[in-house]
Amino acid sequence: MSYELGFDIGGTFTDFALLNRESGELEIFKALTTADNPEVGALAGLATFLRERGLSHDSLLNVYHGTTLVANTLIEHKGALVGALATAGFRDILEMRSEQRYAIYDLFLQYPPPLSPRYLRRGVRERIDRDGRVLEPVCEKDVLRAVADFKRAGVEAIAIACLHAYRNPQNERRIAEIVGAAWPEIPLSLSSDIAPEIREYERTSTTVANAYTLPLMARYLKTLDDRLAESGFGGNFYLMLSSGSSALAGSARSQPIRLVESGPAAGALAAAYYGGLASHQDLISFDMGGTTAKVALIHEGAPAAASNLEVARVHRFTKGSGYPLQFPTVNILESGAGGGSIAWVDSLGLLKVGPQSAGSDPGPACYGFGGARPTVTDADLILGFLNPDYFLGGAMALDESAAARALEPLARAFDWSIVQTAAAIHQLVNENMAAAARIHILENGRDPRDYAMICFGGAGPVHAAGVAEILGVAEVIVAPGAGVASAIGLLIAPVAFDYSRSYPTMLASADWRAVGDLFEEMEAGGRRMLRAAGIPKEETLIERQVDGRFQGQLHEIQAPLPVDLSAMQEDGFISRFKARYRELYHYVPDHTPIELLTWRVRVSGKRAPVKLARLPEAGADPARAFKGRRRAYFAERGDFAMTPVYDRYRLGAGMTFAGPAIVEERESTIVVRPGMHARADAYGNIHLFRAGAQQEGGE
Amino acid sequence: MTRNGIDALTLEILWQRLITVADQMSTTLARTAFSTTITASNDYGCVLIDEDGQCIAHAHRSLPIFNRTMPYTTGLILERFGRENIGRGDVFISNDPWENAGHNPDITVITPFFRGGALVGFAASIAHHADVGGAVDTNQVRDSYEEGLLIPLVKLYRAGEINQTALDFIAANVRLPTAVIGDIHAQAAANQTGAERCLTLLDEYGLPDLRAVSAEIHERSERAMRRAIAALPDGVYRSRVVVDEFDQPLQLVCAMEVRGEEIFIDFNGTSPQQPRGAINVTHTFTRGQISYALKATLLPDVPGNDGCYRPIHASAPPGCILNARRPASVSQRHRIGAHIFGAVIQALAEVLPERVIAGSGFLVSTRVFANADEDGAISHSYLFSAGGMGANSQDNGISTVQVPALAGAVPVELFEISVPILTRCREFIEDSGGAGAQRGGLAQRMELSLLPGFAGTATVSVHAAGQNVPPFGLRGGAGGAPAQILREGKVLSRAEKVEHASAMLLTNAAETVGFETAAGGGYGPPIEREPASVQADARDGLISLAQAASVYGVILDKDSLEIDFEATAARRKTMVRGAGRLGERCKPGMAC
Repeated sequence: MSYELGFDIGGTFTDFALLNRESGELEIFKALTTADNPEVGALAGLATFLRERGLSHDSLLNVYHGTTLVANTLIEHKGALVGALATAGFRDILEMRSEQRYAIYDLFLQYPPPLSPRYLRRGVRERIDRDGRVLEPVCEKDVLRAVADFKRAGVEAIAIACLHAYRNPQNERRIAEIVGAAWPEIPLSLSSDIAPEIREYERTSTTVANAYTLPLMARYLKTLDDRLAESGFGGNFYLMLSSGSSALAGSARSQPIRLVESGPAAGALAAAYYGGLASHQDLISFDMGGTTAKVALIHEGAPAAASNLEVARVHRFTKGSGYPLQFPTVNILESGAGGGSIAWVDSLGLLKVGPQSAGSDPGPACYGFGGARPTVTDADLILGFLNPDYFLGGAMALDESAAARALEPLARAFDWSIVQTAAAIHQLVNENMAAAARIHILENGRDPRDYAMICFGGAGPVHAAGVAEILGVAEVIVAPGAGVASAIGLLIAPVAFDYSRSYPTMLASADWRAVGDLFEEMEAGGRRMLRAAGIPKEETLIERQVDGRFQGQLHEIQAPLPVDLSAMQEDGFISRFKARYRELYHYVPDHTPIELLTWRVRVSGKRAPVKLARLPEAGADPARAFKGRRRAYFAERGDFAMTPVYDRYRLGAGMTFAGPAIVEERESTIVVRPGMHARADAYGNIHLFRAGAQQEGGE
Repeated sequence: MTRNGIDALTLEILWQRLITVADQMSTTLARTAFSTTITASNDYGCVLIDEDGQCIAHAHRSLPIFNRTMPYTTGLILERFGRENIGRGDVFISNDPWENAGHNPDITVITPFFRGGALVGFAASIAHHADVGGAVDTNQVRDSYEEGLLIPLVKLYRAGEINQTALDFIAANVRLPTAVIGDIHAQAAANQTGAERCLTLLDEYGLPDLRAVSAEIHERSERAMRRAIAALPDGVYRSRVVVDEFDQPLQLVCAMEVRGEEIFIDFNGTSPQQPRGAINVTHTFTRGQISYALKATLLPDVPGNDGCYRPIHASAPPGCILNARRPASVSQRHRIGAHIFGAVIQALAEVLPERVIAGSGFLVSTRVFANADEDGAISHSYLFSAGGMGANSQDNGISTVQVPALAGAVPVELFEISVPILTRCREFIEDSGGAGAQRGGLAQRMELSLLPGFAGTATVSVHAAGQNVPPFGLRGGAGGAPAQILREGKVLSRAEKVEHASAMLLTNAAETVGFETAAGGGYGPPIEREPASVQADARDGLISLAQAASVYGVILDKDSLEIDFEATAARRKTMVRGAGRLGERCKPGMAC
C-alpha cells in the first residue's frame, strides 16, 4: 500500500491529510494543537489516525509538514538570543532600517525591536567592494573578541552579514571558520547562504531572523524526525516552504526562516490544484477566516510569487512596520476582514469594518460569550445567511437578538434599519476584500474579469459571491470543507528549492560564462537535494530567471532565461523583457540599456500528479439535498425572500440549482446570490456562475 | 443620504478606492523611475485633484508638503489657462519654486481628465529629480538663476502630442538627461494610470463626475478639523525658534491664534531672506510645512485632503526667509523650512503636550558627482541621511528616521554600485540623543572616500540641517546633538562649512568626507528616566556611563552595568530638576 501524509500545525488544530496513491482516496483528520510542544500533539494524533485505519507508520511513502511555528516565534518574540557580526562601522544596519516612516501622520509610530539587540551586534574589520574584490581581509581578533562576549552573554545563535557578501562570500566564510573553531556548537547563519541578494538591510534582516528561529526549529525538527523514524517510518520527511515547494527536512533545517509562510503557501497550492480540476489556470484564491482575509493569485496554474515579504508587523496591515525577509514566497495579501471584524463609525461619521476583530474571545455578539460589538458574523446572521441552529453543524447556537442589539448603535448613527445596517456591513467587507484582490491583479497588469475565484475558510463561502460580483468574476469555486486546503497543498507541493544570487552586470557586457558558472553552483545544491529525495535526473526541472531593469532604476522585473546560456539570444531576451515591461507599466524607456542584477533558479522534481477519486454522477435534480426554505436578505432585492436551503453533504455530482439559495455545511455556509447558478462537481466542489456567465469547466 | 446625494456607504467605498488609485500611481512611479531620490528615497508624491483644483486623496506615502503644493499648482493652471483651454490629452509641467515645492529639482506633472467633454479632475505627481543643472557649490549661490533649469507652467503634451521642444530644452540643461527625461515620462505614465482608474471608478458607480464625492470628502474633513481646533482653548500661542544653518543665526517667530474653530498663524518678526546660500523658503513650502504640523498633531487619523486645511490660515510677511521674493536662491530651502514644523509644534506644546514630539534631527543630504570609469560620462548619486526623531510623552524617539521629511535612505550597496565611492561607516552616534525621561532618537555618522583603485575624482556636496543649534527638548528634556560636517574625520568650523561643504573634492582613497546628522530632543526631565531604561541604553551603547551618571544621575558599575541604587539616589538628589546638560559627544576623528 502506498500512502502519503500531510500534516499542518496551526494555532488551534493540527490538520492531517492521508492520500491513497492508488485509489486517489483522501482522508482528513484533525487533532488539537499542543501549543508548548506542537510535535507531541502532532505525533500522537498521527498515531491515532493510522491505528484507526489499521495502518502503521511504515505504510507511509512520504510525510509532508507545514507549520506556523516560525511565524509565531517571530510574532511572539520567542526566538533565540542572536549575536550579529557585520562589517565594522555598519552594525546598526538592522536598526536603521530604511530611515522612512511607514505612516506619514502618525508621530507616535513604533517599529518592532531588532531581533539582535545592539549590545550583541558587533563590527568586524573586513571589506568587500562592489565588484567582489577583497579590500580588507577579516580581522581575526575582532571576531574572537565578539565570540568571547557572545559566550558570556548567553548567545544562542550567530548571524554574519557583511557588505557586498552577495558578490563574494569569502569574508563571511572566513568569519564563520574563525567562529567555528572557537565555538564549534554555535549555530551560524551567513547572509551569503541565506539571502545572497543586494540591499544590506533586507539581507541582514533575513539572516538575523533565520538565526533567531534556528535553535528552536532545529530541536523541533530533530525531535519530529527521530520520533517518526522510531515509529517505523522509513520514507522521506519534507517541509513546506514559503515558496510553495517542499524540501527534504535535512536540507531545509539550516534555513528555517523559509518556512515562515508554510501554511498560506500550502493553501495557495491547493487553490491552484482545485482550479486545475475545473480547468481554470488563472484564479483568485480567497480565504476568509475569523480575523483576516487572505488573497492569493494563481497565474497559469501556479501561485503568484514574490521575492520578498514582511512579517511580524507592529500594524498588521501596514507595510513597512515589520521585518523584511528576502526569499521567494507565495504572494499572499492579507486584509483585516474576517467574520470577527468589528464594524464601527469613524471620526468622519463613516462606516468602517475592521481591522480590529472580536476574534473567538469574546467573539461576535451572536456567540453569546459576552461580545457586545457588532461584527461581520452578526451581520451575516441577521441577513439570514447563517442558520442560528446549524452553526458548526449545530454545535453552537447563535443568538440573533444579541446580534441585533450589537448593531443598534450603528443603525441609529446612520438612521438605518438593523437589516440595512447588516447589509451595509456585509457589502463593505466585500468591498474591502475586492479592493485587496483588485490592487494585486492590476499590479500584475491583468484584468480581474479574466479570473475565476476559489474560496476557503469559514466565512469565505458566505462572502465569495458578493466579492465576485464586485470584481466582475464569472465563476466561484467553493472547495470542499475547511482544513482540507492546506493539507491538500502539502501533498501536491513539488519538491523544489529556490536559489538566488546578486551579480549586477549590464546586459550588453554580460559575461555569460560567469553567469553560467554562478547558475551551476546554485543548481548543484538543488540537484543534491533531489538526488537525496530519490528523484531521477531526467525528472529534474531547472527554471532560471533574472531580475532586470533599465539602467538607473531601482525596481526590477523578472524575466526567464534559457538553461543553455550559449543559446542565449540577447535580441529575443530584450524584446521579451520590453514586452513584459510594457504590459506592467505601459511606457518603455526604449533607449536605456538593460541591467541585470539578481539571478534566480528553481530546481524542482516532477511528482506524480495527485488523482482524487471522483464521486458518482447523481443527475441534475437537487431535490435530495433540499432542506427547506428560510428568509434571507439580498440588497439588490431590497427585502427578505424565502430562500431554498440545501445540504452540502447530500449534493451529488452534477446537481444544479438557481440562486438565490443557501448551501449549509458544518464549518460554513455558501451564499448563492440572485441571478447566479450553482452546480456540484465530481470532486465535491460547488461552482457558482454569475448571470450570463458560461457554465463550463467543472470536470 | 448625505447632503451631496451620496449615501454614507458608497462614500466610504469611493473614498477608499480613490486613495487606492493614488497608491497605484505611486507604485507605478516608484517602479518605473530612474532617480534613487524617487525609487529608494521616496521623495515624491501622487494625488488626485478635483475639477476646482482641490486635493481629494493622496497616496499613503506621498510627502506631506507635496500633497499641498500640487493642488496649488493645479489652481494656477485653472487660473492661467482657463477651463476652456484645458483639453483632453493635455499634460502640464512646471518646477518654478514659487509655484511648486520650493526648489527646482521638484518637477510637477499634472494630467487633467475628462468625461464626455467635461473636465472631471486632475491626476498629479511631483518628484525630486536627479539633476536640474545649476551650480553644484550651492553655498555660493546668490540667486535662483544660478540654480539651473526653470520650467514655467506649460503644456508638456497638447491634445496627446508631446511638446518635444520643451523636452529638448530640459534635456539640454541637465547633467543627467536620461534619468530626468525618463522620470518625467514615468510621472506622466503614473498620472495616466490614475486618470484611467478614476474614470473606471466613476463608470462603475454610475457617477457623472467627482463633484458629489469631492464635496462630501472636503466637508466631512473640514468639520473634523474644526472640531479638533474647537477642542483647543482660544488664545495666542507663540514660539521663537533660532536656526543657525549657514553663516549666521536666524529666527523664526510663530504666533498661532486659536479662535473658535479656526487657526491663524503668522510669522511676523521672522528674519529676512538671505542673499546667499540657497536657504530661502517660498510661501508654498511654508504653507505645506504648517499644514503638515497641524494635521499630524490635530487630525492624524483622517486621510489627507484639502478639506482638512480650510480652517487654517497661514501667512508669513513677504521678504522674510519663509516667504522669499524672487529671485532668491532656494535650492536648500528644507534646511530652514524643516524648522517650521518645530516652530508650530513648540507653539502647540503649551496646549497639547501629549500630542507633540520634541525636536527632530533633520536630514543631511549629500550629492556625489564622479567621472564615470572610461567614457567621460558623469556618475551621480544622492544620499539622504536621517537624524533622530524627537521623543514624546510615551516613548523614546526613534533613531535615524526622517522627520518632518519622509524620504528614506539609499542602501549602501546600491549607492556604491552607482558611484565609485566607498562608505567607511554608517552607524549610530553614542550619547547623541537628547536626554530625557523619554530619550531622543540617535543620530548617525557616515564617512565616504573614493573607491580604492578608482583613478578619477569625485565632488561631494554635503548639506546638513540642524547645525549649531540642538534640536529642542520638551518639558525638561535636553536637546539632541546638532549636525556636523567632517573632513578627514575633523569637524568643520562654521567658516569652513560655508566655504567648502557644498563642493568637497576627493582625489584619492585616503581622503574622506563625512557628516553627523542631528539627533532628537528628549521629553521630560532626564532624572525622571527609569534607572533600568538608562541601564539598558548604556548596555546597548546608546549612551555612555559618563552620560548615565552626569545627565541621568544613574550610577552603573563599569563592568557589570549593575545599578548602584544608593549612589543613584544620592546623585539624583544633588541634581537640579530640569533640563539635563548634553552629554559628552562622540569625539571628532574617533573611529566608528
